[in-house]
Amino acid sequence: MSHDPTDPKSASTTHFGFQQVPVAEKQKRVAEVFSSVARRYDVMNDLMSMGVHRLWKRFVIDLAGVRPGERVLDVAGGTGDLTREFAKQVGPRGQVVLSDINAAMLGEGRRRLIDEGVVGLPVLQANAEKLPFADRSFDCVTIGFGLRNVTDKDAALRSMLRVLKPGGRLLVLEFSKPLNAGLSKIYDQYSFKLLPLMGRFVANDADSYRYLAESIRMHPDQGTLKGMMEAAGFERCQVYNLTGGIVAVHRGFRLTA
Amino acid sequence: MSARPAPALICAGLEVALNRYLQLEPAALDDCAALARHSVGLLVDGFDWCLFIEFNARGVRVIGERPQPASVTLAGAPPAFAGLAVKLASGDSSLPPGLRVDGDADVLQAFRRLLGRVGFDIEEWIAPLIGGAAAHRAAQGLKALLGWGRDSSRTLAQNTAEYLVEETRDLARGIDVEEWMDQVDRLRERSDRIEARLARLERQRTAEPRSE
Ligand SMILES: C[S@@+](CC[C@H](N)C(=O)[O-])C[C@H]1O[C@@H](n2cnc3c(N)ncnc32)[C@H](O)[C@@H]1O
Repeated sequence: MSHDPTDPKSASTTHFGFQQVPVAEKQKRVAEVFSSVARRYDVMNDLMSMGVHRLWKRFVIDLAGVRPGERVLDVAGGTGDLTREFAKQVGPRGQVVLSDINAAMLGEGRRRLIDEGVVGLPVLQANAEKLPFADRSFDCVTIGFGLRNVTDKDAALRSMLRVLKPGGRLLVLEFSKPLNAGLSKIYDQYSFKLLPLMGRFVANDADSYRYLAESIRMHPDQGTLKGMMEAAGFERCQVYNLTGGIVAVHRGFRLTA
Repeated sequence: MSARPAPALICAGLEVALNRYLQLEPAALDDCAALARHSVGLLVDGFDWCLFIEFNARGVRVIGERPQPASVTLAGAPPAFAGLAVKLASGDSSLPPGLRVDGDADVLQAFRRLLGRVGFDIEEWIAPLIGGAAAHRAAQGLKALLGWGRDSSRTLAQNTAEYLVEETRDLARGIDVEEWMDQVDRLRERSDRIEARLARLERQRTAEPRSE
């Protein structure tokens, strides 16, 4: 591989949207973005994806096939959409852990879970790159629209593999590369022009939403991410393109002990 | 002609549906665990799709590619698979004509017993296909193929149908999907033949004693 901007050893800067920033700074900048959008995150989510994000999440939930009694970790879980569904599925014998690097997002998540009657699940501030959990402790790990914000994605993939039990699965839901050039163009217009505009009106925060649009474009495409998962040690990796590849779900398994 | 991996969403649909059936029957999951080192490959003629069913204690995983060949491979045209499904649903574990088997017959036998045990009712899946009423071409193609969205299918989630309908609508813009939809159309054209075959199987089922 040539120059890898996500590898802190090969470069001293990394991308923050389309800008280059020192590696040490990306995490801080990402934190500012999410602290700034936390309170309106859900409204924006609906507006930004015109509600389709619910279907994308539904697909992840079905594909994860979580069973009663299982342990599930929702990494970069933010306001807890996936967590909430998994909590219903694991039942009283299982457990779902909501984690995120950002305290403001987690606070919103905790508040929403309580509002909806989901109580008693652990909520933990954690960096995806260095998950503070024992090896082989989860049946399923998910990261929804989170990986693109992580500075060292390879480290995050390795960390998520480490905490999976043998046979366990990782599901990554993330914006990806539209399969069709026409769609790609429309989508560009939408995300670079419309998104920041909506961000300004709804959240009074165009910059944060500009970052979101740019970070989507900088995220590895389907094939690259699949390769990264395989390099981290995941097996049976499969890509599921949704909405013409605007988002993709990647699933991989830890098969070896 | 070499087969290509079946579309990921088809694999996902089959996996989610199979697992919903398997979960209804704890003993079926024990059977899956027992088959853990094995796999069943399906080669669908006409579409030139291959898919693999792998087993584990939680049920099955359906994927389009696999580093090693399957323990046993079933190959045939869609009507032959439909025939197999109808036979399984009626408790008949013999193979219908037109299905080629290559590999470990014991694994195949175990797989068929497993599906028989959970009362895997694929008629429910293919009835919309042979019923033939076409609404929205794209959405119905996929729904019909997988049998989602029928009022009677309690075990198959309506939610799932919902996103597949959405997805197919959007995906229908892609070239891949155009091609695939043409194949679905061709499949539908063959529905007369499936219907005839089903009627014949139906007659056999009532006329003959069951062969085990
Ligand atoms: C777009 S939100 C997604 C929230 C939620 N999963 C969803 O799908 O709605 C992205 C989240 O990633 C979190 N995040 C960013 N970098 C992270 C890291 N290194 N480790 C863990 N979470 C991180 C952010 O704090 C933010 O809450």
